[in-house]
Amino acid sequence: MRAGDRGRGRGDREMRIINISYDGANGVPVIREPASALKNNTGTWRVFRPTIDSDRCVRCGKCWVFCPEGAIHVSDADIWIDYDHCKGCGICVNGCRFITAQREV
Amino acid sequence: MKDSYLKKLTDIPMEDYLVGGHVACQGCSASLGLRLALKVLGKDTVVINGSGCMTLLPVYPTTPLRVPWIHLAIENTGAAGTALYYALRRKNIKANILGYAGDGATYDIGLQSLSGAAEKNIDMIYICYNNQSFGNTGHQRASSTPRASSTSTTPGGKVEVEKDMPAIMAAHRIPYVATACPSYPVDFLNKVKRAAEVKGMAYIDLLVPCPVGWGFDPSEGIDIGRLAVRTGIWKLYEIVDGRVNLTYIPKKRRGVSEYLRAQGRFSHLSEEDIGAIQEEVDEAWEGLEARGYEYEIMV
Amino acid sequence: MNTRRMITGNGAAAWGARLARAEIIPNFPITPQTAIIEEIASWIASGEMDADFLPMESEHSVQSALAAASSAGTRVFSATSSQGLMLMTEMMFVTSGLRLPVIMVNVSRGLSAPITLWSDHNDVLVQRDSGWLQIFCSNNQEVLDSVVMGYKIAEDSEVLLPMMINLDGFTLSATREPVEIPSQDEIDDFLPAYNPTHTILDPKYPMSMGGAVFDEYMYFRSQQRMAMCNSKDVITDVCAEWEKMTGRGWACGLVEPYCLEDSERALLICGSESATLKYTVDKLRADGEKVGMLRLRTMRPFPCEGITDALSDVEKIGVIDQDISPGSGGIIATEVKACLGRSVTSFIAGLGGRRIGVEKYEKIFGRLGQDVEEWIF
Repeated sequence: MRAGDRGRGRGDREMRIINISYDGANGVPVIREPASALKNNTGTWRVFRPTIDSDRCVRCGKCWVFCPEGAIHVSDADIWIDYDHCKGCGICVNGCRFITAQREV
Repeated sequence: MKDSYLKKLTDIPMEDYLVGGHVACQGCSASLGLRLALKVLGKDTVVINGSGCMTLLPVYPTTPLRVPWIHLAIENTGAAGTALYYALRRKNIKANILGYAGDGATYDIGLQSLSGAAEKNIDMIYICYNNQSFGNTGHQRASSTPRASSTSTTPGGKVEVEKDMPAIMAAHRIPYVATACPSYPVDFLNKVKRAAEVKGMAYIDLLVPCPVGWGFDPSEGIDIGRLAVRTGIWKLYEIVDGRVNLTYIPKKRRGVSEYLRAQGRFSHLSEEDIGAIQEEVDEAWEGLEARGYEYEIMV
Repeated sequence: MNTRRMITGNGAAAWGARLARAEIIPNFPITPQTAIIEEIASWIASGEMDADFLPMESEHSVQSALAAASSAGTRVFSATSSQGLMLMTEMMFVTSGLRLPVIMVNVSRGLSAPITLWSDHNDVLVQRDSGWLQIFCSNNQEVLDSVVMGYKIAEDSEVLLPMMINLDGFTLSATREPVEIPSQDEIDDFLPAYNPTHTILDPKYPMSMGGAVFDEYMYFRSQQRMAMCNSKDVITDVCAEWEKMTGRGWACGLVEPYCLEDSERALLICGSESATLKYTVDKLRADGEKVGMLRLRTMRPFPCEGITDALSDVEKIGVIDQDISPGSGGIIATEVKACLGRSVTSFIAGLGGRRIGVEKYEKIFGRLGQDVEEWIF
């Protein structure tokens, strides 16, 4: 779709849009890039920072399941928190002895 | 139970189709509910959203979704699902159609449209994420708000009993109705699986404790949901062919005060009020026990 | 092969949707529109039309279904009227805001209360600012033609806006007229299948539609304005193409001048009433009076250039409004005044189907130029 700043028809006279345009936008309010919200750092919301004691962690999966942000990642070998997207709600801390919270500095 | 059903937490698929970086509140159970549901529905899913908290997941120009998502308005998730079912069929696109709308958009303003889709038995999964109020506008009274709960428009506590939405949906004779809570993810996700398997409309009423509206710490959402179930206030059940079947029976029910006292919205209740609620809950469960936790609700 | 049949305006609307191969038809009955969806239902039942017929639970749901099905890339059609159109209002803005080329026929009918079944244009004009293209038809042939052309205009990549095609309740909707029905082959050549890329709901290309915006809001709204500007040329081009094919160009789309070359007095009008007014113009001209008429075919986009060109040499101009804005007067008159920047007499007539007729038009021409701004007949 064509995006422009001039109305056709009677050329320039009818209407002109000044200074309202967005890179890559094509006039249709649709978001085409899946999971693009990962670009947003919602980790800045966090007041309390959860830390997993990965040595004692038994990989039960509870923290991973209940994280509303999907910010906890598990593999057979490892478990880690994506601090760019953890909002610090504390659900994981509340649900596990091996996760502790410290106030962010 | 079929092999494809989940038995434990670690059976839940790893893939996420709802990722972080969105603006849902800290500790939001509604976004958790969607994240979990999409895990079992998978990538071939189209989500229709009714206006509410979850409408703010995609905020231009970024989206946390990996599946198609459309939001039109608050009261038309059922109508949009109906149209989408036929449109996708015409386009030869095989996908689950997931309606994900709040309780205000389901019990109240969207009831007509949802009823229309249910009457047509449209092959879609409709999950009502139920925070028992108009949550996104700041916790106002809805027909889903339980009696006694205070809201910003019923400061003294709601007088009326909430609508029995699952029964209303069952009365449409749709093949599957269930209640669930993200605090019981295996139970919830098996219900989502079942909802996806049935041909026709499936309705799941998902209790999502809301830290902001209900007045508790964001870290307690899962615990509050668990208490709602363990005290017997929120019952987990399925309705298939008019037959109600409880999927979780608390072995020893906890006292309701434990659930009520944990939330700001019930802080105005006296011990007497709580006693009365306890009596009601006890009476309901005695009835259920007498019927073997399984009974017909329709003829 | 083309055929010529005696059909109603409602029948012509249904034929338009059938020839355009509309695939999804959400609907809700309302007088005087119902015959359109009944006709389509019978064609689908008999296999003459390949479409899904979706009986919805309200007009709000109809418009929601139109938007959802169009988002998924199918060609959609529906029809409504009056109160039904009012109930759709919320969704009208959603459909245009998501840039969905929905085609919907409105069979105009006055608004309640007091409730009426008969035609006027207030229902359409309530939706004036909804971002829909609005076409007023003067006869049944134009209804059929406009529906088919509508898809080509609305689906043009420089437009991508929904279009409402208006026909007057009863005077057109229930009246039979000879209508030329083009052959399906001809229409298939004229109108390619709808395969959009700007909106799809396909897991292969996951898009999020209808999300929230912040500062971008004004950008998207201004782009709708832009698309409306673009649509003027598109309408003219499509009408020219249609004229080549069928011999009917509807005056190149936006306005239809009638006997304006040497007119001293002229009336601007829209819809089916223009037929009676043409007759009156002929009658007065036979008596030597220099009168003329301008029919407004598109209310949105508003054809200010066309109106200016057609009326610049006319001394006294009046506008017939079959609508009323109680706090201001005739709605179209207000717009024409703003466009021409000169004095225009407003005549409000024909509300709720009240008969206008030749005698009244003669009186209106007689009152043109008297020192009164607004007449209610």
